[in-house]
Amino acid sequence: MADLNLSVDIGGLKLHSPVIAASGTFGFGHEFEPYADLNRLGGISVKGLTLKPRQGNPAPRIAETAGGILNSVGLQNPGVEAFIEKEIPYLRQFKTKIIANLAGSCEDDYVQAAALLNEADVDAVELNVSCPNVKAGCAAFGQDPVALEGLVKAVRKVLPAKPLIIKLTPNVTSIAETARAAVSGGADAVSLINTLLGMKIDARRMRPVLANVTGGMSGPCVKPVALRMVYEVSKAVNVPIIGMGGIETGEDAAEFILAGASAVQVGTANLVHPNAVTKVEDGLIQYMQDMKFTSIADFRGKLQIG
Amino acid sequence: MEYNLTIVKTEHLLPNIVSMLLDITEVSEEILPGQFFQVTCGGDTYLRRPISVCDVTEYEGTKVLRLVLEVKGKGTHLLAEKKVGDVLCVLGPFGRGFNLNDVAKADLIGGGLGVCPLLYLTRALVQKGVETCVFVGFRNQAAIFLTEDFKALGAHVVVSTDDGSFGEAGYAIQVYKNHFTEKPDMLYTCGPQVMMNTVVAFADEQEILYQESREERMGCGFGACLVCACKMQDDSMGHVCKDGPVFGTGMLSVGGKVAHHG
Ligand SMILES: Cc1cc2nc3c(=O)[nH]c(=O)nc-3n(C[C@H](O)[C@H](O)[C@H](O)COP(=O)(O)O)c2cc1C
Ligand code: FES
Repeated sequence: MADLNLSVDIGGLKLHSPVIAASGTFGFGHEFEPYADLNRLGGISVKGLTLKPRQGNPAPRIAETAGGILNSVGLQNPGVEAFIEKEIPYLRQFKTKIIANLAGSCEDDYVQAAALLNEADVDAVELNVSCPNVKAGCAAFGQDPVALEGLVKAVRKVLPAKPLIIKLTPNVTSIAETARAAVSGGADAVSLINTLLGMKIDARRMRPVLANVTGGMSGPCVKPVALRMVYEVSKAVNVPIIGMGGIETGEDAAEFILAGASAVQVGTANLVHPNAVTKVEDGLIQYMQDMKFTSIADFRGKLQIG
Repeated sequence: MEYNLTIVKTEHLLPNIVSMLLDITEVSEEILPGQFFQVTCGGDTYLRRPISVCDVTEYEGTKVLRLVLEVKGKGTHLLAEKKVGDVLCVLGPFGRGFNLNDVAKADLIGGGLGVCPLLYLTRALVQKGVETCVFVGFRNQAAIFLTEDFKALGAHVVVSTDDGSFGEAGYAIQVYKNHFTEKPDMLYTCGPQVMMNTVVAFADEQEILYQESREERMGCGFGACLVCACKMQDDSMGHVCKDGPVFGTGMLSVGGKVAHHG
Protein backbone atom coordinates (compact mmCIF):
# COMPACT_ATOMS: atom_id res chain seq x y z
CA MET A 1 0.00 0.00 0.00
CA ALA A 2 1.31 3.44 -0.94
CA ASP A 3 2.21 5.86 1.82
CA LEU A 4 -0.50 8.30 2.71
CA ASN A 5 0.39 11.95 2.82
CA LEU A 6 -2.14 13.85 4.89
CA SER A 7 -0.25 17.15 4.98
CA VAL A 8 -1.78 20.31 3.60
CA ASP A 9 -0.66 23.91 3.18
CA ILE A 10 -3.32 26.44 4.11
CA GLY A 11 -1.97 29.71 2.76
CA GLY A 12 1.40 29.19 4.45
CA LEU A 13 0.04 27.31 7.45
CA LYS A 14 1.55 23.84 7.10
CA LEU A 15 -0.49 21.10 8.75
CA HIS A 16 0.54 17.45 9.09
CA SER A 17 -3.14 16.51 9.05
CA PRO A 18 -6.14 18.26 7.52
CA VAL A 19 -8.22 17.68 10.67
CA ILE A 20 -8.50 20.74 12.91
CA ALA A 21 -10.54 21.25 16.09
CA ALA A 22 -13.09 24.05 15.61
CA SER A 23 -13.15 27.16 17.72
CA GLY A 24 -15.42 27.22 20.77
CA THR A 25 -15.87 23.47 20.91
CA PHE A 26 -12.38 22.46 22.03
CA GLY A 27 -11.57 25.07 24.67
CA PHE A 28 -7.80 25.38 24.77
CA GLY A 29 -7.38 21.63 24.42
CA HIS A 30 -6.98 20.61 28.07
CA GLU A 31 -10.31 18.80 28.41
CA PHE A 32 -9.60 16.56 25.43
CA GLU A 33 -6.22 15.20 26.45
CA PRO A 34 -7.72 12.10 28.11
CA TYR A 35 -9.71 11.24 24.96
CA ALA A 36 -7.74 12.24 21.89
CA ASP A 37 -4.04 12.35 20.99
CA LEU A 38 -3.64 16.09 20.39
CA ASN A 39 -0.41 15.39 18.49
CA ARG A 40 -2.46 13.83 15.71
CA LEU A 41 -4.48 16.99 15.16
CA GLY A 42 -3.39 19.23 12.32
CA GLY A 43 -4.32 22.24 14.40
CA ILE A 44 -6.46 23.59 17.17
CA SER A 45 -8.54 26.70 16.58
CA VAL A 46 -8.88 27.97 20.12
CA LYS A 47 -11.94 29.46 21.78
CA GLY A 48 -12.74 32.85 20.19
CA LEU A 49 -10.51 35.51 21.74
CA THR A 50 -11.24 39.18 22.23
CA LEU A 51 -8.96 42.04 23.23
CA LYS A 52 -10.48 42.20 26.72
CA PRO A 53 -11.91 39.26 28.73
CA ARG A 54 -15.62 38.63 28.23
CA GLN A 55 -18.18 36.88 30.44
CA GLY A 56 -20.55 35.85 27.69
CA ASN A 57 -24.35 35.74 27.68
CA PRO A 58 -26.80 34.73 30.42
CA ALA A 59 -27.97 31.09 30.73
CA PRO A 60 -29.54 29.09 29.24
CA ARG A 61 -26.93 29.19 26.53
CA ILE A 62 -27.73 25.94 24.77
CA ALA A 63 -30.72 24.22 23.25
CA GLU A 64 -31.02 20.98 21.35
CA THR A 65 -32.56 20.82 17.91
CA ALA A 66 -33.06 17.92 15.50
CA GLY A 67 -29.56 16.82 14.54
CA GLY A 68 -27.71 19.55 16.35
CA ILE A 69 -27.72 22.39 18.81
CA LEU A 70 -28.19 26.12 19.18
CA ASN A 71 -25.72 28.01 21.34
CA SER A 72 -25.50 31.53 22.65
CA VAL A 73 -22.30 31.34 24.68
CA GLY A 74 -21.40 34.80 23.44
CA LEU A 75 -17.62 34.76 23.23
CA GLN A 76 -16.83 34.10 26.87
CA ASN A 77 -13.00 34.15 26.96
CA PRO A 78 -10.09 35.27 29.14
CA GLY A 79 -8.81 37.86 26.62
CA VAL A 80 -5.88 37.73 24.22
CA GLU A 81 -3.20 38.56 26.76
CA ALA A 82 -4.20 35.85 29.23
CA PHE A 83 -4.36 33.39 26.32
CA ILE A 84 -0.83 34.27 25.23
CA GLU A 85 0.54 33.99 28.72
CA LYS A 86 -1.31 30.92 30.03
CA GLU A 87 -2.51 28.81 27.13
CA ILE A 88 0.19 28.96 24.47
CA PRO A 89 2.83 27.23 26.66
CA TYR A 90 0.37 24.38 27.27
CA LEU A 91 -0.60 24.00 23.62
CA ARG A 92 3.03 24.11 22.50
CA GLN A 93 3.68 20.76 24.18
CA PHE A 94 1.86 19.13 21.31
CA LYS A 95 2.78 18.62 17.71
CA THR A 96 -0.25 20.60 16.53
CA LYS A 97 -0.62 24.08 15.07
CA ILE A 98 -2.10 26.84 17.19
CA ILE A 99 -4.74 28.86 15.38
CA ALA A 100 -5.84 31.94 17.31
CA ASN A 101 -9.52 32.59 16.64
CA LEU A 102 -10.07 36.31 17.07
CA ALA A 103 -13.29 38.28 17.42
CA GLY A 104 -14.05 41.88 18.15
CA SER A 105 -16.83 44.39 18.19
CA CYS A 106 -15.00 47.16 16.34
CA GLU A 107 -12.05 47.44 13.97
CA ASP A 108 -9.82 48.92 16.64
CA ASP A 109 -10.29 45.90 18.92
CA TYR A 110 -9.39 43.50 16.10
CA VAL A 111 -6.32 45.51 15.11
CA GLN A 112 -4.94 45.85 18.63
CA ALA A 113 -5.47 42.16 19.39
CA ALA A 114 -4.03 41.09 16.02
CA ALA A 115 -0.91 43.16 16.69
CA LEU A 116 -0.42 41.26 19.96
CA LEU A 117 -0.91 37.93 18.18
CA ASN A 118 1.59 38.90 15.48
CA GLU A 119 4.26 38.92 18.18
CA ALA A 120 2.94 35.80 19.93
CA ASP A 121 3.85 32.17 19.36
CA VAL A 122 0.77 31.25 17.33
CA ASP A 123 0.85 29.65 13.88
CA ALA A 124 -2.08 31.46 12.29
CA VAL A 125 -4.92 33.82 13.06
CA GLU A 126 -8.52 33.01 12.17
CA LEU A 127 -10.69 36.11 12.18
CA ASN A 128 -14.17 35.41 13.42
CA VAL A 129 -16.22 38.02 11.61
CA SER A 130 -19.31 35.92 11.83
CA CYS A 131 -20.23 35.27 15.40
CA PRO A 132 -23.93 36.05 15.58
CA ASN A 133 -24.04 36.39 19.33
CA VAL A 134 -22.46 39.73 19.92
CA LYS A 135 -24.74 42.58 19.15
CA ALA A 136 -22.16 45.30 18.90
CA GLY A 137 -21.20 44.79 15.29
CA CYS A 138 -19.48 41.42 14.97
CA ALA A 139 -22.06 40.13 12.53
CA ALA A 140 -21.96 43.37 10.57
CA PHE A 141 -18.36 42.83 9.36
CA GLY A 142 -19.09 39.36 8.08
CA GLN A 143 -22.28 40.43 6.34
CA ASP A 144 -21.03 43.56 4.60
CA PRO A 145 -18.39 42.89 1.91
CA VAL A 146 -17.11 46.47 1.96
CA ALA A 147 -16.70 46.58 5.74
CA LEU A 148 -15.14 43.11 5.65
CA GLU A 149 -12.52 44.03 3.06
CA GLY A 150 -11.62 47.12 5.10
CA LEU A 151 -11.28 45.07 8.29
CA VAL A 152 -9.13 42.41 6.65
CA LYS A 153 -6.83 45.08 5.19
CA ALA A 154 -6.45 46.75 8.58
CA VAL A 155 -5.66 43.45 10.31
CA ARG A 156 -3.32 42.35 7.53
CA LYS A 157 -1.25 45.48 8.10
CA VAL A 158 -0.50 44.60 11.73
CA LEU A 159 -0.23 40.87 11.06
CA PRO A 160 2.40 40.60 8.34
CA ALA A 161 4.08 37.54 9.84
CA LYS A 162 1.23 35.01 10.19
CA PRO A 163 -1.18 33.25 7.85
CA LEU A 164 -4.53 35.06 8.06
CA ILE A 165 -7.70 33.00 7.76
CA ILE A 166 -11.11 34.68 7.54
CA LYS A 167 -13.97 32.68 9.00
CA LEU A 168 -17.12 33.38 7.04
CA THR A 169 -20.67 33.52 8.27
CA PRO A 170 -23.41 31.59 6.48
CA ASN A 171 -25.91 34.30 7.45
CA VAL A 172 -25.58 36.15 4.14
CA THR A 173 -27.24 36.10 0.74
CA SER A 174 -24.04 35.38 -1.16
CA ILE A 175 -21.13 33.79 0.66
CA ALA A 176 -19.11 33.88 -2.56
CA GLU A 177 -19.26 37.66 -2.40
CA THR A 178 -17.99 37.89 1.19
CA ALA A 179 -15.30 35.32 0.38
CA ARG A 180 -14.09 37.50 -2.51
CA ALA A 181 -14.07 40.55 -0.23
CA ALA A 182 -11.93 38.67 2.32
CA VAL A 183 -9.47 37.66 -0.36
CA SER A 184 -9.18 41.16 -1.81
CA GLY A 185 -8.52 42.40 1.70
CA GLY A 186 -5.51 40.08 1.86
CA ALA A 187 -6.75 36.82 3.37
CA ASP A 188 -4.47 33.80 2.93
CA ALA A 189 -7.36 31.39 3.39
CA VAL A 190 -11.05 31.28 4.32
CA SER A 191 -12.85 28.96 6.73
CA LEU A 192 -16.57 28.23 6.71
CA ILE A 193 -19.18 27.92 8.00
CA ASN A 194 -19.73 29.55 11.34
CA THR A 195 -23.08 28.89 13.00
CA LEU A 196 -26.42 29.57 11.33
CA LEU A 197 -28.56 32.03 13.25
CA GLY A 198 -31.65 30.32 14.61
CA MET A 199 -34.02 30.08 17.53
CA LYS A 200 -35.99 27.60 19.58
CA ILE A 201 -39.33 28.29 21.24
CA ASP A 202 -41.00 26.57 24.15
CA ALA A 203 -44.64 26.78 23.11
CA ARG A 204 -46.02 25.78 26.53
CA ARG A 205 -44.08 28.50 28.29
CA MET A 206 -44.51 30.83 25.29
CA ARG A 207 -40.83 31.75 25.59
CA PRO A 208 -37.60 31.38 23.67
CA VAL A 209 -35.44 28.59 25.11
CA LEU A 210 -32.20 30.61 24.94
CA ALA A 211 -31.91 33.58 27.29
CA ASN A 212 -30.34 35.45 24.38
CA VAL A 213 -33.50 34.66 22.32
CA THR A 214 -31.49 33.63 19.24
CA GLY A 215 -28.39 31.48 18.89
CA GLY A 216 -26.04 29.81 16.44
CA MET A 217 -27.06 26.43 15.03
CA SER A 218 -24.43 23.77 14.45
CA GLY A 219 -24.02 20.03 14.19
CA PRO A 220 -25.07 17.48 11.53
CA CYS A 221 -28.21 19.48 10.67
CA VAL A 222 -26.12 22.26 9.07
CA LYS A 223 -23.91 20.01 6.94
CA PRO A 224 -25.88 20.31 3.67
CA VAL A 225 -25.80 24.12 3.89
CA ALA A 226 -22.09 24.07 4.76
CA LEU A 227 -21.24 21.77 1.84
CA ARG A 228 -23.13 23.95 -0.62
CA MET A 229 -21.33 27.03 0.66
CA VAL A 230 -17.87 25.45 0.52
CA TYR A 231 -18.66 24.40 -3.04
CA GLU A 232 -19.76 27.94 -3.97
CA VAL A 233 -16.75 29.57 -2.35
CA SER A 234 -14.36 27.14 -4.06
CA LYS A 235 -15.71 28.37 -7.40
CA ALA A 236 -15.33 32.03 -6.35
CA VAL A 237 -11.84 32.31 -4.87
CA ASN A 238 -8.51 30.56 -5.29
CA VAL A 239 -7.19 30.62 -1.73
CA PRO A 240 -7.35 27.42 0.35
CA ILE A 241 -10.63 26.67 2.13
CA ILE A 242 -11.16 25.11 5.54
CA GLY A 243 -14.58 23.48 5.54
CA MET A 244 -16.77 22.74 8.54
CA GLY A 245 -20.34 22.25 9.67
CA GLY A 246 -21.62 19.00 11.13
CA ILE A 247 -18.55 16.87 10.48
CA GLU A 248 -18.63 13.69 12.60
CA THR A 249 -16.94 11.06 10.42
CA GLY A 250 -14.10 10.67 7.95
CA GLU A 251 -16.66 10.34 5.18
CA ASP A 252 -18.14 13.73 6.16
CA ALA A 253 -14.66 15.24 5.96
CA ALA A 254 -14.13 13.67 2.53
CA GLU A 255 -17.36 15.28 1.30
CA PHE A 256 -16.03 18.73 2.24
CA ILE A 257 -12.71 18.03 0.52
CA LEU A 258 -14.52 16.88 -2.63
CA ALA A 259 -16.51 20.12 -2.49
CA GLY A 260 -13.23 22.06 -2.55
CA ALA A 261 -11.89 22.27 1.02
CA SER A 262 -8.18 21.68 1.72
CA ALA A 263 -8.74 21.03 5.42
CA VAL A 264 -11.69 20.55 7.77
CA GLN A 265 -12.67 21.53 11.27
CA VAL A 266 -14.65 19.39 13.68
CA GLY A 267 -16.83 21.34 16.10
CA THR A 268 -20.02 20.32 17.86
CA ALA A 269 -19.18 16.61 17.54
CA ASN A 270 -16.42 17.12 20.14
CA LEU A 271 -19.02 17.96 22.78
CA VAL A 272 -20.78 14.62 22.41
CA HIS A 273 -17.83 12.44 21.40
CA PRO A 274 -14.64 13.84 22.90
CA ASN A 275 -12.58 11.60 20.63
CA ALA A 276 -14.39 12.84 17.49
CA VAL A 277 -11.26 14.37 15.93
CA THR A 278 -9.48 11.02 16.09
CA LYS A 279 -12.47 9.22 14.59
CA VAL A 280 -12.63 11.74 11.75
CA GLU A 281 -8.95 11.33 10.95
CA ASP A 282 -9.13 7.52 11.15
CA GLY A 283 -12.17 7.57 8.89
CA LEU A 284 -10.52 9.88 6.41
CA ILE A 285 -7.48 7.59 6.20
CA GLN A 286 -9.81 4.64 5.62
CA TYR A 287 -11.62 6.56 2.88
CA MET A 288 -8.34 7.46 1.16
CA GLN A 289 -7.11 3.86 1.32
CA ASP A 290 -10.41 2.56 -0.06
CA MET A 291 -10.34 5.14 -2.85
CA LYS A 292 -6.62 4.67 -3.51
CA PHE A 293 -5.84 8.33 -2.91
CA THR A 294 -2.40 9.10 -1.53
CA SER A 295 -2.77 12.81 -0.83
CA ILE A 296 -5.51 15.32 -0.11
CA ALA A 297 -4.81 16.97 -3.47
CA ASP A 298 -5.81 13.70 -5.17
CA PHE A 299 -9.46 14.36 -4.42
CA ARG A 300 -9.73 17.98 -3.36
CA GLY A 301 -12.42 19.69 -5.45
CA LYS A 302 -12.76 16.55 -7.57
CA LEU A 303 -16.52 16.46 -7.28
CA GLN A 304 -17.86 14.97 -10.50
CA ILE A 305 -20.90 16.73 -11.84
CA GLY A 306 -23.08 15.65 -14.72
CA MET B 1 -13.93 8.23 30.13
CA GLU B 2 -16.48 6.63 27.82
CA TYR B 3 -18.11 3.41 28.94
CA ASN B 4 -20.79 1.11 27.58
CA LEU B 5 -22.72 -0.03 30.63
CA THR B 6 -25.29 -2.82 30.67
CA ILE B 7 -28.58 -2.26 32.46
CA VAL B 8 -29.15 -4.98 35.08
CA LYS B 9 -32.35 -3.64 36.60
CA THR B 10 -34.95 -0.96 35.91
CA GLU B 11 -37.84 0.06 38.08
CA HIS B 12 -40.46 2.81 38.19
CA LEU B 13 -40.30 4.38 41.65
CA LEU B 14 -43.21 6.64 40.67
CA PRO B 15 -45.04 6.92 37.34
CA ASN B 16 -42.54 9.61 36.28
CA ILE B 17 -39.45 8.51 38.21
CA VAL B 18 -37.29 5.68 36.89
CA SER B 19 -34.44 3.95 38.68
CA MET B 20 -31.87 1.91 36.78
CA LEU B 21 -28.88 -0.13 37.85
CA LEU B 22 -25.89 -0.32 35.50
CA ASP B 23 -23.12 -2.89 35.68
CA ILE B 24 -19.86 -1.01 36.41
CA THR B 25 -17.54 -3.98 36.77
CA GLU B 26 -15.43 -2.46 33.97
CA VAL B 27 -15.19 0.99 35.53
CA SER B 28 -11.95 1.40 37.43
CA GLU B 29 -12.31 5.15 38.06
CA GLU B 30 -13.61 6.09 41.46
CA ILE B 31 -17.16 7.48 41.39
CA LEU B 32 -17.76 10.12 44.05
CA PRO B 33 -20.99 11.36 45.60
CA GLY B 34 -22.18 14.48 43.74
CA GLN B 35 -20.64 13.54 40.40
CA PHE B 36 -22.66 12.91 37.25
CA PHE B 37 -22.55 11.01 33.97
CA GLN B 38 -23.37 12.25 30.47
CA VAL B 39 -25.74 9.65 29.09
CA THR B 40 -26.52 8.98 25.41
CA CYS B 41 -30.30 8.66 25.05
CA GLY B 42 -30.51 7.54 21.41
CA GLY B 43 -33.44 8.25 19.11
CA ASP B 44 -33.19 11.67 17.55
CA THR B 45 -31.57 13.30 20.57
CA TYR B 46 -28.20 14.85 19.82
CA LEU B 47 -26.73 15.89 23.16
CA ARG B 48 -26.08 13.53 26.02
CA ARG B 49 -28.08 14.16 29.20
CA PRO B 50 -26.36 14.84 32.52
CA ILE B 51 -27.66 12.43 35.18
CA SER B 52 -26.31 12.57 38.70
CA VAL B 53 -25.02 9.53 40.52
CA CYS B 54 -27.76 8.35 42.88
CA ASP B 55 -25.79 5.50 44.36
CA VAL B 56 -22.94 3.07 43.86
CA THR B 57 -23.72 -0.27 45.38
CA GLU B 58 -23.97 -4.00 44.74
CA TYR B 59 -26.79 -5.88 43.09
CA GLU B 60 -26.74 -9.69 43.09
CA GLY B 61 -22.97 -9.67 43.54
CA THR B 62 -22.30 -7.12 40.77
CA LYS B 63 -20.95 -3.63 41.35
CA VAL B 64 -23.60 -1.24 40.04
CA LEU B 65 -24.20 2.43 39.43
CA ARG B 66 -27.70 3.60 40.26
CA LEU B 67 -29.22 6.40 38.21
CA VAL B 68 -32.63 7.80 39.08
CA LEU B 69 -34.25 10.12 36.61
CA GLU B 70 -37.40 12.09 36.14
CA VAL B 71 -39.13 11.50 32.82
CA LYS B 72 -39.73 14.99 31.53
CA GLY B 73 -38.23 15.47 28.07
CA LYS B 74 -37.43 13.52 24.92
CA GLY B 75 -34.14 12.19 26.27
CA THR B 76 -35.38 10.95 29.62
CA HIS B 77 -38.42 9.43 27.87
CA LEU B 78 -36.10 7.35 25.71
CA LEU B 79 -34.05 6.33 28.74
CA ALA B 80 -37.18 5.28 30.61
CA GLU B 81 -38.00 2.84 27.80
CA LYS B 82 -34.68 1.00 28.12
CA LYS B 83 -34.82 -2.61 29.23
CA VAL B 84 -32.60 -4.94 31.22
CA GLY B 85 -29.75 -6.03 28.94
CA ASP B 86 -29.72 -2.78 26.97
CA VAL B 87 -26.41 -0.91 26.90
CA LEU B 88 -26.05 2.76 27.78
CA CYS B 89 -23.12 4.74 26.42
CA VAL B 90 -21.95 7.15 29.11
CA LEU B 91 -19.15 9.64 29.61
CA GLY B 92 -17.92 10.33 33.09
CA PRO B 93 -17.85 10.42 36.00
CA PHE B 94 -17.67 14.19 35.75
CA GLY B 95 -17.63 17.10 38.14
CA ARG B 96 -16.42 17.99 41.57
CA GLY B 97 -18.54 16.09 44.04
CA PHE B 98 -19.26 16.56 47.74
CA ASN B 99 -16.34 17.02 50.09
CA LEU B 100 -16.55 14.82 53.18
CA ASN B 101 -13.33 15.89 54.89
CA ASP B 102 -13.40 17.13 58.49
CA VAL B 103 -17.09 16.40 58.91
CA ALA B 104 -18.19 14.53 62.06
CA LYS B 105 -21.81 15.69 62.03
CA ALA B 106 -23.68 16.36 58.79
CA ASP B 107 -27.18 17.55 57.98
CA LEU B 108 -28.59 17.02 54.50
CA ILE B 109 -31.54 18.86 52.97
CA GLY B 110 -32.99 17.57 49.72
CA GLY B 111 -36.03 18.56 47.74
CA GLY B 112 -37.81 16.60 45.01
CA LEU B 113 -35.47 15.05 42.45
CA GLY B 114 -32.61 16.69 44.35
CA VAL B 115 -32.73 13.90 46.91
CA CYS B 116 -31.06 11.52 44.40
CA PRO B 117 -27.41 12.56 44.78
CA LEU B 118 -27.87 12.77 48.54
CA LEU B 119 -28.45 9.01 48.75
CA TYR B 120 -24.87 8.13 47.73
CA LEU B 121 -23.61 10.97 49.90
CA THR B 122 -25.50 9.52 52.85
CA ARG B 123 -23.98 6.11 52.17
CA ALA B 124 -20.48 7.60 52.13
CA LEU B 125 -21.06 9.66 55.29
CA VAL B 126 -22.54 6.77 57.25
CA GLN B 127 -19.69 4.54 56.13
CA LYS B 128 -17.23 7.11 57.49
CA GLY B 129 -19.04 7.07 60.81
CA VAL B 130 -20.39 10.61 60.37
CA GLU B 131 -23.51 11.42 62.38
CA THR B 132 -25.93 11.98 59.51
CA CYS B 133 -29.38 13.50 59.55
CA VAL B 134 -31.35 13.69 56.27
CA PHE B 135 -34.29 16.02 55.64
CA VAL B 136 -36.12 15.16 52.44
CA GLY B 137 -39.02 17.25 51.22
CA PHE B 138 -41.57 16.55 48.50
CA ARG B 139 -44.58 18.40 47.07
CA ASN B 140 -47.09 15.90 48.40
CA GLN B 141 -47.49 12.26 49.35
CA ALA B 142 -47.76 11.15 45.72
CA ALA B 143 -44.35 12.65 44.95
CA ILE B 144 -42.40 10.80 47.63
CA PHE B 145 -39.68 8.36 46.56
CA LEU B 146 -36.36 6.94 47.76
CA THR B 147 -37.09 7.61 51.45
CA GLU B 148 -36.90 3.92 52.38
CA ASP B 149 -33.47 3.72 50.74
CA PHE B 150 -32.23 6.54 52.96
CA LYS B 151 -33.58 4.80 56.05
CA ALA B 152 -31.94 1.52 55.02
CA LEU B 153 -28.55 3.22 55.17
CA GLY B 154 -28.99 3.87 58.86
CA ALA B 155 -29.22 7.65 58.74
CA HIS B 156 -31.76 9.63 60.72
CA VAL B 157 -34.40 10.57 58.13
CA VAL B 158 -37.11 13.25 58.37
CA VAL B 159 -39.67 13.22 55.55
CA SER B 160 -41.83 16.24 54.86
CA THR B 161 -44.36 17.38 52.29
CA ASP B 162 -45.17 20.94 51.28
CA ASP B 163 -48.90 20.33 51.71
CA GLY B 164 -48.62 18.17 54.83
CA SER B 165 -50.20 15.13 53.14
CA PHE B 166 -47.40 12.95 54.55
CA GLY B 167 -44.78 13.34 57.27
CA GLU B 168 -44.09 16.78 58.58
CA ALA B 169 -45.74 19.74 56.88
CA GLY B 170 -43.94 22.63 55.20
CA TYR B 171 -40.96 23.39 53.02
CA ALA B 172 -37.86 21.32 53.77
CA ILE B 173 -35.95 24.32 55.12
CA GLN B 174 -38.77 25.17 57.54
CA VAL B 175 -38.93 21.61 58.77
CA TYR B 176 -35.15 21.69 59.20
CA LYS B 177 -35.36 24.90 61.22
CA ASN B 178 -38.04 23.33 63.44
CA HIS B 179 -35.65 20.49 64.27
CA PHE B 180 -32.54 22.63 64.47
CA THR B 181 -30.80 22.44 67.84
CA GLU B 182 -27.11 21.93 67.22
CA LYS B 183 -24.94 23.18 64.35
CA PRO B 184 -23.62 20.45 62.05
CA ASP B 185 -20.07 20.64 60.66
CA MET B 186 -21.56 20.70 57.19
CA LEU B 187 -24.95 21.36 55.65
CA TYR B 188 -25.36 19.57 52.31
CA THR B 189 -28.20 20.49 50.00
CA CYS B 190 -29.60 19.56 46.61
CA GLY B 191 -32.92 20.52 45.08
CA PRO B 192 -34.67 23.35 43.29
CA GLN B 193 -32.47 26.47 43.28
CA VAL B 194 -35.07 28.48 45.23
CA MET B 195 -34.97 25.88 47.97
CA MET B 196 -31.16 25.80 48.02
CA ASN B 197 -31.08 29.59 48.23
CA THR B 198 -33.07 29.45 51.47
CA VAL B 199 -30.75 26.76 52.81
CA VAL B 200 -27.66 28.78 51.88
CA ALA B 201 -29.14 31.91 53.48
CA PHE B 202 -29.81 30.00 56.71
CA ALA B 203 -26.32 28.43 56.69
CA ASP B 204 -24.68 31.82 56.20
CA GLU B 205 -26.81 33.38 58.93
CA GLN B 206 -25.90 30.61 61.37
CA GLU B 207 -22.30 30.49 60.15
CA ILE B 208 -22.55 26.86 59.15
CA LEU B 209 -20.45 25.62 56.25
CA TYR B 210 -22.57 24.37 53.37
CA GLN B 211 -22.25 22.58 50.05
CA GLU B 212 -24.94 22.92 47.38
CA SER B 213 -25.26 20.81 44.24
CA ARG B 214 -26.36 23.02 41.37
CA GLU B 215 -28.20 22.24 38.21
CA GLU B 216 -27.46 24.07 34.97
CA ARG B 217 -28.18 23.24 31.38
CA MET B 218 -25.14 21.53 29.90
CA GLY B 219 -23.63 20.84 26.53
CA CYS B 220 -20.52 18.74 26.93
CA GLY B 221 -20.38 18.19 30.70
CA PHE B 222 -16.57 18.30 30.81
CA GLY B 223 -15.58 21.94 30.47
CA ALA B 224 -15.22 22.43 26.72
CA CYS B 225 -18.24 24.40 25.52
CA LEU B 226 -18.68 27.05 28.26
CA VAL B 227 -22.42 26.59 28.12
CA CYS B 228 -22.74 26.11 31.89
CA ALA B 229 -20.85 29.21 33.01
CA CYS B 230 -21.07 30.45 36.57
CA LYS B 231 -19.43 33.37 38.29
CA MET B 232 -16.92 32.57 41.01
CA GLN B 233 -16.30 34.60 44.14
CA ASP B 234 -13.30 36.39 42.60
CA ASP B 235 -15.43 37.30 39.54
CA SER B 236 -13.58 34.82 37.34
CA MET B 237 -15.71 32.54 35.20
CA GLY B 238 -16.22 28.93 36.19
CA HIS B 239 -18.11 25.94 34.83
CA VAL B 240 -20.91 24.24 36.75
CA CYS B 241 -19.86 20.96 35.09
CA LYS B 242 -16.21 21.09 36.07
CA ASP B 243 -15.81 23.45 39.04
CA GLY B 244 -19.12 22.12 40.38
CA PRO B 245 -21.80 20.90 40.33
CA VAL B 246 -21.12 21.00 44.09
CA PHE B 247 -20.13 24.44 45.36
CA GLY B 248 -19.17 25.21 48.93
CA THR B 249 -19.44 28.25 51.17
CA GLY B 250 -18.10 31.35 49.46
CA MET B 251 -17.11 29.70 46.19
CA LEU B 252 -19.60 31.50 43.96
CA SER B 253 -20.19 35.19 43.64
CA VAL B 254 -23.65 36.17 44.89
CA GLY B 255 -26.17 34.28 42.78
CA GLY B 256 -23.38 32.76 40.70
CA LYS B 257 -25.05 33.80 37.47
CA VAL B 258 -23.86 35.66 34.42
CA ALA B 259 -26.29 38.51 34.72
CA HIS B 260 -25.58 41.09 32.09
CA HIS B 261 -25.12 40.85 28.37
CA GLY B 262 -21.61 40.84 26.98
C1 LIG C 1 -20.57 26.05 21.75
C2 LIG C 1 -19.96 26.63 20.50
C3 LIG C 1 -19.11 27.73 20.59
C4 LIG C 1 -18.54 28.29 19.45
N1 LIG C 1 -17.67 29.34 19.58
C5 LIG C 1 -17.05 29.83 18.48
C6 LIG C 1 -16.06 30.86 18.59
O1 LIG C 1 -15.72 31.30 19.69
N2 LIG C 1 -15.49 31.34 17.47
C7 LIG C 1 -15.82 30.85 16.22
O2 LIG C 1 -15.26 31.30 15.23
N3 LIG C 1 -16.73 29.86 16.09
C8 LIG C 1 -17.34 29.35 17.18
N4 LIG C 1 -18.26 28.32 17.04
C9 LIG C 1 -18.58 27.81 15.69
C10 LIG C 1 -17.79 26.54 15.35
O3 LIG C 1 -16.40 26.78 15.38
C11 LIG C 1 -18.19 26.03 13.95
O4 LIG C 1 -17.92 27.02 13.00
C12 LIG C 1 -19.65 25.66 13.82
O5 LIG C 1 -20.13 25.14 15.04
C13 LIG C 1 -19.96 24.69 12.69
O6 LIG C 1 -19.26 23.48 12.82
P1 LIG C 1 -19.83 22.17 13.61
O7 LIG C 1 -21.18 21.89 13.04
O8 LIG C 1 -18.83 21.09 13.37
O9 LIG C 1 -19.91 22.57 15.03
C14 LIG C 1 -18.85 27.76 18.16
C15 LIG C 1 -19.71 26.65 18.08
C16 LIG C 1 -20.26 26.08 19.22
C17 LIG C 1 -21.16 24.89 19.08
S1 FES D 1 -21.30 21.81 29.86
FE1 FES D 1 -19.73 22.30 28.45
S2 FES D 1 -18.45 23.50 29.69
FE2 FES D 1 -19.88 22.81 31.13
